[in-house]
Amino acid sequence: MKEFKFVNAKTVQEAVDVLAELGDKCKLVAGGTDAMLMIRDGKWNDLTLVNIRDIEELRGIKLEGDTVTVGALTRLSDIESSDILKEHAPCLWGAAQFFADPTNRHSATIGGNVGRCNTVGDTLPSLLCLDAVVTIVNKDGEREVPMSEMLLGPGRTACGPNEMIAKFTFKSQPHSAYMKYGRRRSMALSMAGSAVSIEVDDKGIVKWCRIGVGNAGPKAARAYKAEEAMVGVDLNSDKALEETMYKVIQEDISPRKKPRLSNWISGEYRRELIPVLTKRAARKAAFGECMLCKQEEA
Amino acid sequence: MSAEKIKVNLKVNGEDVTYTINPEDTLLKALRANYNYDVKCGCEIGECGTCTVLLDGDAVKSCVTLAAACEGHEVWTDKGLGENDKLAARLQDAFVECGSVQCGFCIPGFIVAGVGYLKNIGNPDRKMIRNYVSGNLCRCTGYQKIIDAIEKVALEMERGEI
Ligand SMILES: Cc1cc2nc3c(=O)[nH]c(=O)nc-3n(C[C@H](O)[C@H](O)[C@H](O)COP(=O)(O)OP(=O)(O)OC[C@H]3O[C@@H](n4cnc5c(N)ncnc54)[C@H](O)[C@@H]3O)c2cc1C
Ligand code: FES
Ligand code: FES
Repeated sequence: MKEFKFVNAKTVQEAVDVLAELGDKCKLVAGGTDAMLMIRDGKWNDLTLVNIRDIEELRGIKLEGDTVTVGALTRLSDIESSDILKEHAPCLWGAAQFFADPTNRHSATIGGNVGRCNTVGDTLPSLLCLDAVVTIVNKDGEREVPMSEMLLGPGRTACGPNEMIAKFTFKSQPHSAYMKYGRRRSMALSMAGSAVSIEVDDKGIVKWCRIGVGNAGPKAARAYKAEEAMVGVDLNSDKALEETMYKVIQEDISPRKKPRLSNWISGEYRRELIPVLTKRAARKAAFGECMLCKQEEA
Repeated sequence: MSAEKIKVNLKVNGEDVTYTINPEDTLLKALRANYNYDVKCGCEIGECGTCTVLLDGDAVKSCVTLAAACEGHEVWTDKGLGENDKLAARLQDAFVECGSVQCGFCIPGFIVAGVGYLKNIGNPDRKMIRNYVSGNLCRCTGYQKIIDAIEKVALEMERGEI
């Protein structure tokens, strides 16, 4: 028997008041594209559903100076068509192009993608490589959590049961890119994904980079070892890149030599895939396009 | 004890309605329980697109939309669009002219997604049309004729005929 109650929160204040009162006896519903499946599958029950879809103040993309803010209720379709993100965070913009399908993108929100914290979540690698800061609100005010500390495990984030994600903030990073590998262009969850934000000198030598990988382990994560090893590597040289990538990123993604296996993809394949995706994303981020690998259009 | 029903007020196909629903019901369930049988139920997990409706002008999948969350919002289905909207009626005719319909189960979803495309983008570009309706599955036609129909109306729009 399904037993639910419903609250329609129209403002942040209304939502955090309910959250403060009910805590883990309630669940936020934004676009509902994950939530409705949790209900359908019986994973949620005996809860109050708190609709936040209509909280206008949490929707929208802003650029102030070189700081970009994306509200938690911004839909993937808004991200997909945002000129600000196309220029200042092409990784996130690119992730939206390959997210589910255009119809689902009209509902799915970025806050819901992070809230769900599925390792396949397409916006997570980008938010990680952008080093985004997550603003979390609760009844007493707000706090900031860096994206690198936000994701705790499958379905678990640093956002507590009394709290709600309000927005994501990051610095403009025109040299960033996301590469997703899925079975089809549309309606395919990622088999693996990698997002890179990078700075190279005029010879193509890496000055610094940040790498976020999705679906490599139980949660999307930064590849810190690979980030370090990439400094000083020549992005034009296949050999240099491959040596670094293959050696190091595999340590990042499967320290115990047990890559994640799922219905769609074997662990071994994934171990091969992630260094390649990361290499391509790094080149695309630095040079605008990876000569070898224009991600195929429909 | 069964859960308490709630009421949701929304506009469906231009008419103000109040549905009595369970708090967790999908918009799909609420619409069909209130005789909107043109909204088809396929997969119920957001993958097939048969349940596509316009919510405030955007094509969404009603099976992954919380009905209660539609309070105060506006929903259009295939049937309502066909009866009230010239462009949608034209698209429905074009589906017939182009032979786009076989068993027909997927068609209401395709019409709504197609209307979404024509109203929001509208280019007579097959690749863009294909991408836009890529969340709608058809197990009969092989898609070509469905794309033909949407393209046909997009071309008519471009020539200013509608
Ligand atoms: C057919 C289909 C295809 C999909 N394809 C993809 C895909 O290609 N890539 C991908 O990444 N995902 C995909 N998804 C999953 C889903 O669409 C995304 O995770 C989406 O971003 C969820 O957003 P939402 O607004 O619908 O979240 P909801 O379903 O409303 O919520 C998801 C979770 O996040 C919590 N939550 C929502 N908003 C907040 C907030 N502001 N603060 C804190 N917690 C919050 C909710 O309580 C819930 O636990 C797909 C889903 C479907 C049904
Ligand atoms: S029934 Fe909604 S997408 Fe299949
Ligand atoms: S006509 Fe039969 S599923 Fe499309």
